[in-house]
Amino acid sequence: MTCQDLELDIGDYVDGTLDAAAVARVEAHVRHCRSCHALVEDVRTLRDATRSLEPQIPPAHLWSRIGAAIEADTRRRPIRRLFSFGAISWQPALSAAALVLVLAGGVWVSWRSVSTGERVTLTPSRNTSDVVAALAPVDEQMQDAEQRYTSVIASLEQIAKTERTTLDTPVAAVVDQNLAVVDQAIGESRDALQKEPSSDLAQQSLFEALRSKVALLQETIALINEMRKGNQDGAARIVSGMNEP
Amino acid sequence: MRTADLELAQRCRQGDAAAFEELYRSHAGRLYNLVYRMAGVQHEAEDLLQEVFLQAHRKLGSFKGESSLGTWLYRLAVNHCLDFLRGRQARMARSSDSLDAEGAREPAAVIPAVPTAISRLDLERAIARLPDGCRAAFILHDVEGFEHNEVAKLLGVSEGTSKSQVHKARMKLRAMLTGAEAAVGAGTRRSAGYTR
Repeated sequence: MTCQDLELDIGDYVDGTLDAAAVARVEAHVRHCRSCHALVEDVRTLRDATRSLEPQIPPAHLWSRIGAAIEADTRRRPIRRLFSFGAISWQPALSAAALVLVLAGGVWVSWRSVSTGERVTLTPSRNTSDVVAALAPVDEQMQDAEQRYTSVIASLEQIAKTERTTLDTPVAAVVDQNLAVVDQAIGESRDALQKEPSSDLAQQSLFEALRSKVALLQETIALINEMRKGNQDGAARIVSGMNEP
Repeated sequence: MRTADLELAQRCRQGDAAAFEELYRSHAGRLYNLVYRMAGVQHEAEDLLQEVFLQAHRKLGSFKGESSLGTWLYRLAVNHCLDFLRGRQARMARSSDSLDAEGAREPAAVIPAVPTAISRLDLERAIARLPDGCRAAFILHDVEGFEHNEVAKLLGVSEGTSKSQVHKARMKLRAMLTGAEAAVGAGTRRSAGYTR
């Protein structure tokens, strides 16, 4: 065995995973080679020291920070609750989906009813990203912002209302439940803001709730569209996307 | 155990904050140790752990109980650490390359022995300075105690790659702890004139 050969085996040798014949070869070489002997000793020392390192303990403050981040994330993404509702699965709804879709890239898309095979009239489509882009100046124009949100929400609600028959009853019920939660949050924030018009907290809370409603409606519409297409993969991607950062 | 995990995951999915805190308390210790060693810096370890739990919260719907919740979280954390290391490695590519190149060009003639009683602090510091390229395999194998075949699966590399990365990391640590960093190039240990 040469020094180069030993280098190939030293890891397994020190880790004790080398077969007996190879161990004998390594030990024969190490007996006569000072540098390899030193190398083996060093690697062994290092390995033992590393294995005996004390575990790092998460600082006590970390949970409150992580808990707060999760709470904020949950508020931003209320739709996730819709699809993680214990007893209700969205998959049966997907398999029941019949029609093709409506809403992509702000164009008009034709669809047909899968159940009847009939070609149906083109339906107006909304590109929800355009809708969101319209919200960009919110920070600079706080006074107009609520009106903008309200207007956007009204548009999205109209679309969701028109197309909601695509949703199975249990899923629609959960959508309603989530919308009710968000509406309640909006109502409470408005009340708080009325009592304390200069409260930053109340203002933030209101816009957070409004944003949540926009997000919820957008995701609902996107899912409706995929279900109408009968595109289970597309719907699954939406659901998966809802679970991604 | 698996049933308990499924129940806990279910409660978390239903928005039960106490359940998620229970999840955190049960697994944060092991995961923090991993992310701390991977990141090498406390504030980055804290950021990483937060991201891991945030991601876990978002992805709990995909937990089907095929493995334990601990294993599921650990894999999530490893993947997150790998993304982190890849990003950092890309940012630091130039300096890492120059470190390797320097080591390859100028092997030292003498490497003193690693002290038999290595200071924990020195070792921690040296591990924190390991190049990201060989850090993950080293942490998983030498610190976390996984076998090479397990490391290979976790990292999505071959067993041979795991072995060579661990070897490279050990050689770099040895050089750092003996003050002979220049002697250690990309996975090589010495020049012909190497002596003790």
